[in-house]
Amino acid sequence: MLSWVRQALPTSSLAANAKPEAVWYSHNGHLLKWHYPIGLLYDMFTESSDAPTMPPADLPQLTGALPLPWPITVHLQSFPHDKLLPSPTSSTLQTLYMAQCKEAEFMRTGSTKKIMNLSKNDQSQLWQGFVEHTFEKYWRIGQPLVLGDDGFVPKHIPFRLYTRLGAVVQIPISLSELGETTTIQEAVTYIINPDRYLSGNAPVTGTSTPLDCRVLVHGILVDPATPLLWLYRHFSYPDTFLHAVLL
Amino acid sequence: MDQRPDSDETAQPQPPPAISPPTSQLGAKPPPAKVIIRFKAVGNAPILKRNFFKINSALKFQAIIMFLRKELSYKPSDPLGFIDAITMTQFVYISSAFSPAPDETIENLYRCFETEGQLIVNYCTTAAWG
Repeated sequence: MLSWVRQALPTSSLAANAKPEAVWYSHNGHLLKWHYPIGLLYDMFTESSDAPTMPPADLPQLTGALPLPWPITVHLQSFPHDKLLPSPTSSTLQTLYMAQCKEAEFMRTGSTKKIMNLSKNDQSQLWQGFVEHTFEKYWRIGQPLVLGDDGFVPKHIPFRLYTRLGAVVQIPISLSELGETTTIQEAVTYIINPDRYLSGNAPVTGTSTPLDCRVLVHGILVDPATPLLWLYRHFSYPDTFLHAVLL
Repeated sequence: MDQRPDSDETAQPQPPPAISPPTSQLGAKPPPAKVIIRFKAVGNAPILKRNFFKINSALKFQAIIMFLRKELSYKPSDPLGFIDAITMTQFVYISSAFSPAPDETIENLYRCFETEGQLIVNYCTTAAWG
């Protein structure tokens, strides 16, 4: 990413001299955590009002409801160490990625055996496939993890629900308890019960009926009746978590 | 008007449950404000005088690492010392299985990974389950 930024700002001596560890990004005043998937950040922070009134003519027209291109502010100084993890090297990025895959695997099966048993080469294929956007390479290793054997139902769905205020809730959702046909709406209602705190210290108002649930995954407003398991199998991110934003 | 067979009278259609099954039975309750962390040393890592502590569940995993470093009186040059926040997590694990990201909340980790009411944190001086 930094090399793209450097290319984009060739005349700025500040950019040319920017130390990689000092660079950070924001959108509309929201800090962008580099260790979150960019699509998730987009879902979290984009409002339809962000749409440029006159999109540049040379950019492809996009039909989605949300605006593209996405304006991001690049900061070259005053790194907010208290709010962001220190900028990664490619090695720490890979470490974090594999650690997240293991956490998700631990939720799915209660152990990390399947990942620990991957050969060095297979682990590197998983990472390379992800970094190079080579789906087949990634999925050859990723598919047995996400989908498992025929009919495999994860012990718990690796599911994280984000709010636009930046709160994250990760709770174990057991389909053997809730039922394999549990919908995203039921899962969200399960997560946000009257006792639960979702944003800051404000208790969410309790309700006995499924919440009017508007959830974004990969920029798509998901039909509340979509089964969570189906959504997980088809819409999980490369770290094998399902990341969804509650609107 | 159709006469319904008797058997149908006993099998009254149920109204669709609002949330099925009720969440109150499924442990979807908030974790305690403070949760118990049990530390376990791996390999040559020094052991703590006391190995369990209560910690505010609103804190992040990074707070556990910092706490551990303080308890072990580690200096930045030591193996558990500062390399960077991510590399550092490689020395601290949940349930001998994985290292969470430094900004994951203890609350979420406890909900997902508690064992008999405790969050088991393993630590070592070389990456163990890397």
